[in-house]
Amino acid sequence: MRGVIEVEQLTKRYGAHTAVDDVAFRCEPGTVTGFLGPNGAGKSTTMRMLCGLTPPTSGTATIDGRRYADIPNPAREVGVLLDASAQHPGRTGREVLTLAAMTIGLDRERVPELLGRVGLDAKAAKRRVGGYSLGMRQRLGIALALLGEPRMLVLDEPANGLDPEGIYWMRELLRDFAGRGGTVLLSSHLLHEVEAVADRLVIIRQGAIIAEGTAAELLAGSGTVVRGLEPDALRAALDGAGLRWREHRDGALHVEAEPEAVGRAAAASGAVLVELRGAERGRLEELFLQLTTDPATDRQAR
Amino acid sequence: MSVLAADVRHRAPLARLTVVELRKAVDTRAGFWLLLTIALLTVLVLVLLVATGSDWSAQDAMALALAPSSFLLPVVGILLVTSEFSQRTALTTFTLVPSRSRVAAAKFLAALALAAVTTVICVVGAALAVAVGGGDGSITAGLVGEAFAFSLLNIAMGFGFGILLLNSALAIVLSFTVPIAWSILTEAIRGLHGVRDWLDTGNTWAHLVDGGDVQWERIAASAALWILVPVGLGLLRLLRTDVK
Repeated sequence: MRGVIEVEQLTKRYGAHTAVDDVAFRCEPGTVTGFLGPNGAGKSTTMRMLCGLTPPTSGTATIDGRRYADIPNPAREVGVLLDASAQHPGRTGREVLTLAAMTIGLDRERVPELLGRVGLDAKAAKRRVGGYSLGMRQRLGIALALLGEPRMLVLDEPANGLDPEGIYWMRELLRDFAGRGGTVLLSSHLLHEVEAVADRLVIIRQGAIIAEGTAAELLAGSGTVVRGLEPDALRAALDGAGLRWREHRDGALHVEAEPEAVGRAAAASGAVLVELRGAERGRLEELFLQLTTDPATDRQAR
Repeated sequence: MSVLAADVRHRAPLARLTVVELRKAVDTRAGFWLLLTIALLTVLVLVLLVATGSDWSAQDAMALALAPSSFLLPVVGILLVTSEFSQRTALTTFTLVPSRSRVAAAKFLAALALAAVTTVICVVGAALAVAVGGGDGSITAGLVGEAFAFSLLNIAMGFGFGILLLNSALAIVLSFTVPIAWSILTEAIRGLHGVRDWLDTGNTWAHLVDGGDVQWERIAASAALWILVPVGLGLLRLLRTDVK
Protein backbone atom coordinates (compact mmCIF):
# COMPACT_ATOMS: atom_id res chain seq x y z
CA MET A 1 0.00 0.00 0.00
CA ARG A 2 1.66 3.18 -1.11
CA GLY A 3 -0.39 6.32 -1.59
CA VAL A 4 0.93 8.03 -4.67
CA ILE A 5 -1.21 10.49 -6.58
CA GLU A 6 0.03 10.98 -10.10
CA VAL A 7 -1.24 13.35 -12.74
CA GLU A 8 0.21 12.96 -16.24
CA GLN A 9 -0.29 15.20 -19.27
CA LEU A 10 -3.77 16.03 -18.08
CA THR A 11 -5.67 18.32 -20.43
CA LYS A 12 -9.25 19.56 -20.42
CA ARG A 13 -10.74 21.66 -23.17
CA TYR A 14 -14.19 23.21 -23.15
CA GLY A 15 -14.69 24.12 -26.78
CA ALA A 16 -11.93 26.53 -27.70
CA HIS A 17 -11.08 27.21 -24.07
CA THR A 18 -8.32 25.12 -22.52
CA ALA A 19 -9.07 24.92 -18.80
CA VAL A 20 -6.21 22.56 -17.98
CA ASP A 21 -3.22 22.33 -20.26
CA ASP A 22 -0.86 19.36 -20.09
CA VAL A 23 -0.65 19.33 -16.31
CA ALA A 24 1.64 16.82 -14.60
CA PHE A 25 2.70 16.41 -10.98
CA ARG A 26 3.14 13.73 -8.38
CA CYS A 27 2.26 13.59 -4.69
CA GLU A 28 4.27 11.25 -2.46
CA PRO A 29 3.31 9.59 0.83
CA GLY A 30 4.31 11.57 3.87
CA THR A 31 4.10 14.89 2.07
CA VAL A 32 1.72 17.77 1.68
CA THR A 33 1.54 19.20 -1.82
CA GLY A 34 0.19 22.71 -2.17
CA PHE A 35 -1.64 23.28 -5.45
CA LEU A 36 -1.46 27.00 -5.84
CA GLY A 37 -2.90 29.39 -8.36
CA PRO A 38 -5.32 32.25 -8.80
CA ASN A 39 -9.06 31.61 -9.09
CA GLY A 40 -9.96 30.11 -12.44
CA ALA A 41 -6.46 28.77 -13.05
CA GLY A 42 -7.67 25.17 -13.43
CA LYS A 43 -7.10 23.81 -9.92
CA SER A 44 -10.67 22.59 -9.37
CA THR A 45 -10.96 21.15 -12.87
CA THR A 46 -7.72 19.23 -12.32
CA MET A 47 -8.98 17.88 -9.00
CA ARG A 48 -12.35 16.90 -10.46
CA MET A 49 -10.55 15.01 -13.23
CA LEU A 50 -8.41 13.30 -10.59
CA CYS A 51 -11.60 12.12 -8.85
CA GLY A 52 -13.32 10.91 -12.01
CA LEU A 53 -16.02 13.60 -11.96
CA THR A 54 -14.88 15.43 -15.07
CA PRO A 55 -13.78 13.39 -18.07
CA PRO A 56 -10.36 14.63 -19.24
CA THR A 57 -9.83 15.55 -22.88
CA SER A 58 -6.52 13.72 -22.69
CA GLY A 59 -3.99 12.51 -20.16
CA THR A 60 -4.41 10.45 -17.01
CA ALA A 61 -4.71 10.88 -13.29
CA THR A 62 -4.04 7.88 -11.08
CA ILE A 63 -4.15 6.87 -7.44
CA ASP A 64 -1.52 4.18 -6.84
CA GLY A 65 -1.59 3.41 -10.54
CA ARG A 66 -5.36 3.07 -10.84
CA ARG A 67 -7.89 5.52 -12.16
CA TYR A 68 -10.08 6.82 -9.36
CA ALA A 69 -13.15 5.27 -11.00
CA ASP A 70 -11.48 1.85 -10.86
CA ILE A 71 -11.01 1.91 -7.08
CA PRO A 72 -13.72 -0.33 -5.58
CA ASN A 73 -14.39 1.78 -2.48
CA PRO A 74 -12.40 4.98 -3.03
CA ALA A 75 -13.39 6.72 0.21
CA ARG A 76 -11.31 4.11 2.06
CA GLU A 77 -8.21 5.22 0.17
CA VAL A 78 -8.72 8.85 -0.79
CA GLY A 79 -10.59 11.39 1.26
CA VAL A 80 -12.02 14.03 -1.03
CA LEU A 81 -13.36 17.52 -0.38
CA LEU A 82 -14.10 19.37 -3.59
CA ASP A 83 -16.75 21.89 -2.57
CA ALA A 84 -17.92 22.30 1.00
CA SER A 85 -21.02 24.15 -0.18
CA ALA A 86 -22.21 21.24 -2.30
CA GLN A 87 -24.42 19.69 0.39
CA HIS A 88 -28.18 19.51 0.66
CA PRO A 89 -29.17 22.44 2.90
CA GLY A 90 -32.01 20.41 4.41
CA ARG A 91 -29.81 17.65 5.85
CA THR A 92 -28.14 17.90 9.21
CA GLY A 93 -24.39 17.58 9.49
CA ARG A 94 -24.84 14.23 11.15
CA GLU A 95 -27.18 13.01 8.40
CA VAL A 96 -24.64 13.94 5.70
CA LEU A 97 -21.99 11.84 7.43
CA THR A 98 -24.42 9.02 8.19
CA LEU A 99 -25.37 8.72 4.52
CA ALA A 100 -21.70 8.65 3.56
CA ALA A 101 -20.88 6.07 6.22
CA MET A 102 -23.71 3.85 4.98
CA THR A 103 -22.59 4.27 1.38
CA ILE A 104 -19.03 3.20 2.02
CA GLY A 105 -20.04 0.47 4.43
CA LEU A 106 -18.73 1.92 7.67
CA ASP A 107 -20.15 1.71 11.14
CA ARG A 108 -22.37 4.74 11.76
CA GLU A 109 -21.15 4.79 15.36
CA ARG A 110 -18.09 6.65 14.15
CA VAL A 111 -20.07 9.68 13.05
CA PRO A 112 -20.45 11.54 16.39
CA GLU A 113 -16.79 11.01 17.26
CA LEU A 114 -15.71 12.28 13.85
CA LEU A 115 -17.92 15.36 14.11
CA GLY A 116 -16.27 16.12 17.44
CA ARG A 117 -12.86 15.66 15.90
CA VAL A 118 -13.50 18.41 13.34
CA GLY A 119 -14.92 20.74 15.96
CA LEU A 120 -18.65 20.37 15.27
CA ASP A 121 -20.36 19.84 18.61
CA ALA A 122 -23.55 17.86 19.25
CA LYS A 123 -25.67 20.95 18.75
CA ALA A 124 -24.08 21.78 15.40
CA ALA A 125 -24.39 18.15 14.30
CA LYS A 126 -28.15 18.32 14.70
CA ARG A 127 -28.50 21.54 12.73
CA ARG A 128 -29.29 21.63 9.04
CA VAL A 129 -26.33 22.35 6.80
CA GLY A 130 -28.28 25.27 5.29
CA GLY A 131 -27.70 27.11 8.55
CA TYR A 132 -23.96 26.42 8.66
CA SER A 133 -21.31 29.06 8.09
CA LEU A 134 -18.82 28.35 5.32
CA GLY A 135 -16.26 27.49 8.00
CA MET A 136 -18.60 24.89 9.50
CA ARG A 137 -19.25 23.44 6.06
CA GLN A 138 -15.51 23.14 5.52
CA ARG A 139 -15.22 21.28 8.81
CA LEU A 140 -18.06 18.96 7.77
CA GLY A 141 -16.32 18.46 4.43
CA ILE A 142 -13.08 17.56 6.21
CA ALA A 143 -15.01 15.07 8.36
CA LEU A 144 -16.48 13.58 5.18
CA ALA A 145 -12.98 13.26 3.72
CA LEU A 146 -11.60 11.64 6.88
CA LEU A 147 -14.58 9.30 7.32
CA GLY A 148 -13.14 6.29 5.52
CA GLU A 149 -9.75 6.57 7.27
CA PRO A 150 -8.00 7.10 3.94
CA ARG A 151 -4.26 7.25 3.24
CA MET A 152 -4.64 10.18 0.90
CA LEU A 153 -6.49 13.48 1.04
CA VAL A 154 -7.54 15.64 -1.91
CA LEU A 155 -8.88 18.97 -0.69
CA ASP A 156 -9.97 21.87 -2.88
CA GLU A 157 -9.68 25.24 -1.11
CA PRO A 158 -10.34 23.73 2.32
CA ALA A 159 -9.25 26.86 4.15
CA ASN A 160 -11.89 29.01 2.46
CA GLY A 161 -14.15 30.49 5.11
CA LEU A 162 -12.14 29.19 8.06
CA ASP A 163 -11.16 31.68 10.72
CA PRO A 164 -7.47 31.96 11.75
CA GLU A 165 -8.00 29.41 14.51
CA GLY A 166 -9.61 27.07 11.97
CA ILE A 167 -6.76 27.52 9.53
CA TYR A 168 -4.28 26.71 12.28
CA TRP A 169 -6.33 23.65 13.25
CA MET A 170 -6.38 22.39 9.69
CA ARG A 171 -2.67 22.99 9.24
CA GLU A 172 -1.98 20.83 12.30
CA LEU A 173 -4.39 18.17 11.08
CA LEU A 174 -2.76 17.97 7.65
CA ARG A 175 0.80 17.98 9.07
CA ASP A 176 -0.20 15.19 11.44
CA PHE A 177 -1.84 13.26 8.57
CA ALA A 178 1.30 13.54 6.44
CA GLY A 179 3.48 12.85 9.48
CA ARG A 180 1.83 9.45 9.79
CA GLY A 181 2.68 8.65 6.17
CA GLY A 182 -0.40 10.07 4.48
CA THR A 183 -0.43 11.91 1.16
CA VAL A 184 -2.08 15.30 0.98
CA LEU A 185 -2.96 17.40 -2.06
CA LEU A 186 -4.58 20.70 -1.21
CA SER A 187 -5.33 23.67 -3.36
CA SER A 188 -5.51 27.34 -2.54
CA HIS A 189 -5.46 30.68 -4.25
CA LEU A 190 -3.80 32.20 -1.18
CA LEU A 191 -0.12 31.61 -0.69
CA HIS A 192 -0.08 32.12 3.07
CA GLU A 193 -2.62 29.32 3.52
CA VAL A 194 -0.37 26.68 2.02
CA GLU A 195 3.20 27.85 2.49
CA ALA A 196 3.20 26.94 6.18
CA VAL A 197 1.89 23.42 5.60
CA ALA A 198 3.10 22.31 2.17
CA ASP A 199 6.34 20.43 1.54
CA ARG A 200 6.02 20.99 -2.15
CA LEU A 201 4.31 23.63 -4.19
CA VAL A 202 2.78 23.21 -7.63
CA ILE A 203 1.91 26.58 -9.10
CA ILE A 204 -0.63 26.75 -11.89
CA ARG A 205 -1.66 29.68 -14.05
CA GLN A 206 -4.11 29.72 -16.93
CA GLY A 207 -4.33 25.93 -16.88
CA ALA A 208 -0.59 25.28 -17.08
CA ILE A 209 1.96 24.54 -14.38
CA ILE A 210 4.51 27.32 -14.26
CA ALA A 211 6.60 26.33 -11.25
CA GLU A 212 6.98 23.27 -9.09
CA GLY A 213 9.22 22.22 -6.25
CA THR A 214 9.89 22.49 -2.55
CA ALA A 215 9.58 25.92 -1.05
CA ALA A 216 13.38 25.90 -0.65
CA GLU A 217 13.88 25.04 -4.31
CA LEU A 218 11.53 27.74 -5.44
CA LEU A 219 13.28 30.20 -3.21
CA ALA A 220 16.88 29.27 -3.90
CA GLY A 221 18.95 32.42 -4.20
CA SER A 222 16.31 34.63 -2.70
CA GLY A 223 18.76 36.40 -0.43
CA THR A 224 18.95 37.39 3.22
CA VAL A 225 17.47 40.10 5.40
CA VAL A 226 19.92 41.45 7.96
CA ARG A 227 19.89 44.24 10.50
CA GLY A 228 22.90 45.53 12.42
CA LEU A 229 23.20 47.32 15.74
CA GLU A 230 25.28 49.93 13.96
CA PRO A 231 24.08 50.16 10.37
CA ASP A 232 27.25 51.82 9.08
CA ALA A 233 29.46 49.07 10.47
CA LEU A 234 27.27 46.39 8.87
CA ARG A 235 27.26 48.13 5.50
CA ALA A 236 31.04 48.38 5.65
CA ALA A 237 31.32 44.70 6.56
CA LEU A 238 29.13 43.67 3.63
CA ASP A 239 31.03 45.90 1.22
CA GLY A 240 34.27 44.50 2.55
CA ALA A 241 33.08 40.94 1.84
CA GLY A 242 31.97 41.94 -1.66
CA LEU A 243 28.26 41.22 -1.00
CA ARG A 244 25.62 43.24 -2.88
CA TRP A 245 22.90 44.78 -0.76
CA ARG A 246 20.11 47.29 -0.83
CA GLU A 247 18.42 49.05 2.04
CA HIS A 248 14.76 48.48 2.95
CA ARG A 249 12.64 51.39 4.04
CA ASP A 250 12.65 50.07 7.63
CA GLY A 251 16.44 50.14 7.75
CA ALA A 252 17.01 46.40 7.27
CA LEU A 253 19.37 45.37 4.49
CA HIS A 254 18.50 42.85 1.79
CA VAL A 255 21.66 41.03 0.82
CA GLU A 256 22.02 38.88 -2.29
CA ALA A 257 23.68 36.01 -0.46
CA GLU A 258 22.81 33.13 1.84
CA PRO A 259 22.46 33.93 5.58
CA GLU A 260 25.67 32.04 6.37
CA ALA A 261 27.79 34.25 4.11
CA VAL A 262 26.26 37.37 5.62
CA GLY A 263 26.83 36.10 9.15
CA ARG A 264 30.47 35.30 8.38
CA ALA A 265 31.07 38.73 6.88
CA ALA A 266 29.60 40.40 9.96
CA ALA A 267 31.57 38.19 12.35
CA ALA A 268 34.82 38.84 10.50
CA SER A 269 34.45 42.60 10.90
CA GLY A 270 32.96 42.47 14.39
CA ALA A 271 29.62 44.05 13.36
CA VAL A 272 26.84 43.11 15.81
CA LEU A 273 23.69 41.69 14.22
CA VAL A 274 20.23 42.02 15.70
CA GLU A 275 18.44 40.19 12.93
CA LEU A 276 19.52 37.65 10.33
CA ARG A 277 17.13 35.56 8.26
CA GLY A 278 16.46 34.22 4.79
CA ALA A 279 14.29 36.56 2.75
CA GLU A 280 11.83 33.72 2.03
CA ARG A 281 8.50 35.03 3.20
CA GLY A 282 8.46 38.18 1.20
CA ARG A 283 10.27 36.50 -1.64
CA LEU A 284 7.77 33.67 -1.94
CA GLU A 285 4.91 36.12 -2.10
CA GLU A 286 6.73 38.09 -4.72
CA LEU A 287 7.43 34.92 -6.65
CA PHE A 288 3.80 33.85 -6.48
CA LEU A 289 2.56 37.20 -7.70
CA GLN A 290 5.18 37.30 -10.42
CA LEU A 291 4.33 33.78 -11.54
CA THR A 292 0.59 34.13 -11.48
CA THR A 293 -0.08 37.61 -12.71
CA ASP A 294 0.31 38.41 -16.31
CA PRO A 295 0.12 42.14 -16.97
CA ALA A 296 -1.53 41.56 -20.34
CA THR A 297 -4.38 39.35 -19.07
CA ASP A 298 -4.70 41.49 -15.98
CA ARG A 299 -5.54 44.44 -18.13
CA GLN A 300 -7.88 42.32 -20.24
CA ALA A 301 -9.78 41.16 -17.18
CA ARG A 302 -10.60 44.74 -16.26
CA MET B 1 -9.17 0.41 11.86
CA SER B 2 -10.51 -2.33 14.09
CA VAL B 3 -14.03 -0.90 14.10
CA LEU B 4 -14.33 -1.18 10.35
CA ALA B 5 -16.25 -3.93 8.70
CA ALA B 6 -14.25 -6.50 6.78
CA ASP B 7 -15.66 -5.68 3.37
CA VAL B 8 -14.81 -2.00 3.28
CA ARG B 9 -12.28 -2.41 0.48
CA HIS B 10 -14.95 -3.84 -1.75
CA ARG B 11 -17.44 -1.89 -3.76
CA ALA B 12 -20.81 -1.21 -2.23
CA PRO B 13 -23.43 -3.89 -2.93
CA LEU B 14 -26.42 -2.61 -4.90
CA ALA B 15 -28.78 -3.39 -2.01
CA ARG B 16 -26.81 -1.11 0.30
CA LEU B 17 -26.79 1.70 -2.24
CA THR B 18 -30.53 1.29 -2.69
CA VAL B 19 -31.09 1.61 1.06
CA VAL B 20 -29.00 4.80 1.02
CA GLU B 21 -31.09 6.19 -1.84
CA LEU B 22 -34.31 5.37 -0.01
CA ARG B 23 -33.00 7.21 3.01
CA LYS B 24 -32.07 10.21 0.88
CA ALA B 25 -35.63 10.26 -0.46
CA VAL B 26 -37.09 10.78 3.00
CA ASP B 27 -34.41 12.56 5.04
CA THR B 28 -35.20 16.06 3.78
CA ARG B 29 -38.36 18.03 4.42
CA ALA B 30 -39.26 18.17 0.73
CA GLY B 31 -38.87 14.44 0.20
CA PHE B 32 -40.59 13.50 3.44
CA TRP B 33 -43.60 15.74 2.85
CA LEU B 34 -43.95 14.71 -0.77
CA LEU B 35 -44.32 11.08 0.23
CA LEU B 36 -46.51 11.87 3.21
CA THR B 37 -48.73 14.01 0.97
CA ILE B 38 -49.26 11.06 -1.35
CA ALA B 39 -50.32 8.90 1.58
CA LEU B 40 -52.56 11.58 3.10
CA LEU B 41 -54.26 12.43 -0.20
CA THR B 42 -54.87 8.74 -0.84
CA VAL B 43 -56.55 8.37 2.53
CA LEU B 44 -58.46 11.61 2.01
CA VAL B 45 -59.97 10.69 -1.36
CA LEU B 46 -61.03 7.29 0.00
CA VAL B 47 -62.63 8.84 3.06
CA LEU B 48 -64.52 11.22 0.78
CA LEU B 49 -65.59 8.31 -1.39
CA VAL B 50 -66.94 6.35 1.56
CA ALA B 51 -68.57 9.42 3.08
CA THR B 52 -70.20 10.87 0.01
CA GLY B 53 -70.14 8.34 -2.79
CA SER B 54 -73.00 6.18 -3.85
CA ASP B 55 -73.12 3.18 -6.14
CA TRP B 56 -69.39 2.68 -6.52
CA SER B 57 -67.36 -0.45 -7.15
CA ALA B 58 -64.09 -1.83 -5.83
CA GLN B 59 -62.64 -0.89 -9.20
CA ASP B 60 -63.69 2.73 -8.63
CA ALA B 61 -62.15 2.75 -5.15
CA MET B 62 -58.87 1.40 -6.49
CA ALA B 63 -58.75 3.95 -9.33
CA LEU B 64 -59.47 6.79 -6.93
CA ALA B 65 -56.89 5.59 -4.43
CA LEU B 66 -54.28 5.61 -7.19
CA ALA B 67 -55.13 9.10 -8.45
CA PRO B 68 -52.89 11.12 -6.07
CA SER B 69 -49.91 8.86 -6.60
CA SER B 70 -50.36 8.86 -10.36
CA PHE B 71 -49.67 12.61 -10.26
CA LEU B 72 -47.02 12.69 -7.57
CA LEU B 73 -45.04 9.48 -8.03
CA PRO B 74 -43.41 10.76 -11.24
CA VAL B 75 -42.21 13.77 -9.20
CA VAL B 76 -40.71 11.42 -6.62
CA GLY B 77 -38.94 9.56 -9.44
CA ILE B 78 -37.66 12.81 -10.92
CA LEU B 79 -36.35 14.24 -7.65
CA LEU B 80 -34.50 11.04 -6.80
CA VAL B 81 -32.16 11.87 -9.68
CA THR B 82 -32.35 15.62 -10.15
CA SER B 83 -31.99 16.71 -6.52
CA GLU B 84 -28.40 15.46 -6.68
CA PHE B 85 -27.77 18.07 -9.35
CA SER B 86 -29.91 20.94 -8.10
CA GLN B 87 -28.38 20.59 -4.63
CA ARG B 88 -24.98 19.61 -6.05
CA THR B 89 -24.75 16.56 -3.83
CA ALA B 90 -23.77 14.59 -6.95
CA LEU B 91 -20.25 15.77 -6.21
CA THR B 92 -20.22 13.75 -2.97
CA THR B 93 -22.31 10.87 -4.28
CA PHE B 94 -20.11 10.16 -7.28
CA THR B 95 -16.94 10.71 -5.29
CA LEU B 96 -18.04 8.00 -2.86
CA VAL B 97 -19.38 5.73 -5.63
CA PRO B 98 -17.60 6.47 -8.91
CA SER B 99 -19.71 3.95 -10.81
CA ARG B 100 -22.52 6.22 -11.94
CA SER B 101 -24.49 3.39 -13.51
CA ARG B 102 -24.61 1.64 -10.12
CA VAL B 103 -25.85 4.80 -8.45
CA ALA B 104 -28.47 5.15 -11.19
CA ALA B 105 -29.50 1.50 -10.73
CA ALA B 106 -29.81 2.03 -6.97
CA LYS B 107 -31.96 5.10 -7.54
CA PHE B 108 -34.17 3.19 -9.97
CA LEU B 109 -34.63 0.35 -7.47
CA ALA B 110 -35.35 2.90 -4.73
CA ALA B 111 -37.98 4.47 -7.00
CA LEU B 112 -39.64 1.10 -7.56
CA ALA B 113 -39.57 0.40 -3.83
CA LEU B 114 -41.22 3.74 -3.04
CA ALA B 115 -43.89 3.11 -5.67
CA ALA B 116 -44.50 -0.31 -4.15
CA VAL B 117 -44.95 1.21 -0.68
CA THR B 118 -47.44 3.82 -1.86
CA THR B 119 -49.31 1.17 -3.80
CA VAL B 120 -49.60 -0.98 -0.68
CA ILE B 121 -51.20 2.04 1.00
CA CYS B 122 -53.56 2.44 -1.96
CA VAL B 123 -54.51 -1.24 -1.97
CA VAL B 124 -55.05 -1.45 1.78
CA GLY B 125 -56.96 1.84 1.72
CA ALA B 126 -59.17 0.74 -1.16
CA ALA B 127 -59.86 -2.62 0.52
CA LEU B 128 -60.82 -0.87 3.76
CA ALA B 129 -63.02 1.54 1.85
CA VAL B 130 -64.80 -1.33 0.14
CA ALA B 131 -65.25 -3.18 3.45
CA VAL B 132 -66.45 -0.12 5.36
CA GLY B 133 -68.33 1.72 2.67
CA GLY B 134 -69.91 -1.23 0.99
CA GLY B 135 -68.59 -0.83 -2.54
CA ASP B 136 -69.62 -3.37 -5.13
CA GLY B 137 -67.35 -6.33 -5.67
CA SER B 138 -63.97 -6.80 -4.02
CA ILE B 139 -60.33 -5.89 -4.49
CA THR B 140 -59.20 -8.83 -6.61
CA ALA B 141 -55.67 -10.05 -7.19
CA GLY B 142 -56.02 -8.74 -10.71
CA LEU B 143 -56.82 -5.23 -9.50
CA VAL B 144 -53.89 -5.33 -7.09
CA GLY B 145 -51.47 -6.46 -9.79
CA GLU B 146 -52.64 -3.75 -12.15
CA ALA B 147 -52.33 -1.14 -9.43
CA PHE B 148 -48.72 -2.12 -8.80
CA ALA B 149 -47.93 -2.15 -12.53
CA PHE B 150 -49.49 1.31 -12.92
CA SER B 151 -47.51 2.84 -10.04
CA LEU B 152 -44.23 1.26 -11.06
CA LEU B 153 -44.66 2.47 -14.65
CA ASN B 154 -45.51 5.96 -13.44
CA ILE B 155 -42.51 6.38 -11.18
CA ALA B 156 -40.23 4.81 -13.78
CA MET B 157 -41.40 7.40 -16.29
CA GLY B 158 -40.59 10.17 -13.81
CA PHE B 159 -37.17 8.64 -13.26
CA GLY B 160 -36.65 8.69 -17.04
CA PHE B 161 -37.49 12.40 -17.30
CA GLY B 162 -35.22 13.08 -14.33
CA ILE B 163 -32.17 11.21 -15.59
CA LEU B 164 -32.60 12.58 -19.11
CA LEU B 165 -32.90 16.24 -18.07
CA LEU B 166 -30.93 16.32 -14.76
CA ASN B 167 -32.91 19.41 -13.77
CA SER B 168 -35.79 19.32 -11.27
CA ALA B 169 -37.97 22.15 -12.57
CA LEU B 170 -37.58 21.30 -16.23
CA ALA B 171 -38.20 17.59 -15.66
CA ILE B 172 -41.32 18.17 -13.56
CA VAL B 173 -42.85 20.59 -16.06
CA LEU B 174 -42.08 18.43 -19.09
CA SER B 175 -43.20 15.22 -17.38
CA PHE B 176 -46.66 16.78 -17.03
CA THR B 177 -46.90 18.63 -20.32
CA VAL B 178 -45.23 16.36 -22.86
CA PRO B 179 -47.45 13.29 -22.28
CA ILE B 180 -50.56 15.49 -22.35
CA ALA B 181 -49.46 17.25 -25.54
CA TRP B 182 -48.74 13.84 -27.03
CA SER B 183 -52.21 12.61 -26.07
CA ILE B 184 -53.87 15.63 -27.64
CA LEU B 185 -51.77 15.40 -30.78
CA THR B 186 -52.34 11.69 -31.36
CA GLU B 187 -56.03 12.07 -30.60
CA ALA B 188 -56.55 15.09 -32.84
CA ILE B 189 -54.79 13.76 -35.91
CA ARG B 190 -56.68 10.84 -37.37
CA GLY B 191 -53.59 9.40 -39.00
CA LEU B 192 -51.94 9.09 -35.60
CA HIS B 193 -54.64 6.99 -33.98
CA GLY B 194 -52.54 3.87 -34.42
CA VAL B 195 -49.75 5.63 -32.57
CA ARG B 196 -52.19 6.71 -29.88
CA ASP B 197 -53.44 3.18 -29.32
CA TRP B 198 -49.94 1.88 -28.72
CA LEU B 199 -47.81 4.78 -27.51
CA ASP B 200 -50.10 7.13 -25.58
CA THR B 201 -49.87 6.24 -21.89
CA GLY B 202 -53.23 7.94 -21.41
CA ASN B 203 -54.61 5.14 -23.57
CA THR B 204 -52.41 2.19 -22.71
CA TRP B 205 -51.34 2.47 -19.06
CA ALA B 206 -54.55 4.25 -18.10
CA HIS B 207 -56.54 1.08 -18.73
CA LEU B 208 -54.72 -0.49 -15.81
CA VAL B 209 -56.89 1.63 -13.53
CA ASP B 210 -59.91 2.82 -15.49
CA GLY B 211 -61.42 -0.58 -16.03
CA GLY B 212 -60.65 -0.46 -19.75
CA ASP B 213 -59.22 -3.29 -21.79
CA VAL B 214 -55.72 -4.00 -20.41
CA GLN B 215 -53.46 -4.90 -23.33
CA TRP B 216 -50.01 -5.76 -22.05
CA GLU B 217 -48.26 -5.62 -25.42
CA ARG B 218 -49.45 -2.01 -25.80
CA ILE B 219 -48.45 -1.21 -22.23
CA ALA B 220 -44.99 -2.58 -22.99
CA ALA B 221 -44.76 -0.56 -26.21
CA SER B 222 -45.59 2.64 -24.34
CA ALA B 223 -43.10 1.72 -21.65
CA ALA B 224 -40.41 1.33 -24.30
CA LEU B 225 -41.04 4.85 -25.57
CA TRP B 226 -41.68 6.62 -22.27
CA ILE B 227 -39.29 4.70 -19.99
CA LEU B 228 -36.66 2.72 -21.89
CA VAL B 229 -35.73 5.47 -24.33
CA PRO B 230 -35.34 8.31 -21.79
CA VAL B 231 -33.65 6.08 -19.22
CA GLY B 232 -31.23 4.78 -21.84
CA LEU B 233 -30.39 8.20 -23.22
CA GLY B 234 -30.28 9.65 -19.71
CA LEU B 235 -27.88 6.97 -18.57
CA LEU B 236 -25.56 7.76 -21.48
CA ARG B 237 -25.74 11.42 -20.53
CA LEU B 238 -25.15 10.73 -16.84
CA LEU B 239 -22.09 8.62 -17.59
CA ARG B 240 -20.50 11.40 -19.62
CA THR B 241 -21.62 14.49 -17.80
CA ASP B 242 -19.18 16.79 -16.08
CA VAL B 243 -20.15 16.72 -12.40
CA LYS B 244 -19.48 20.15 -10.92
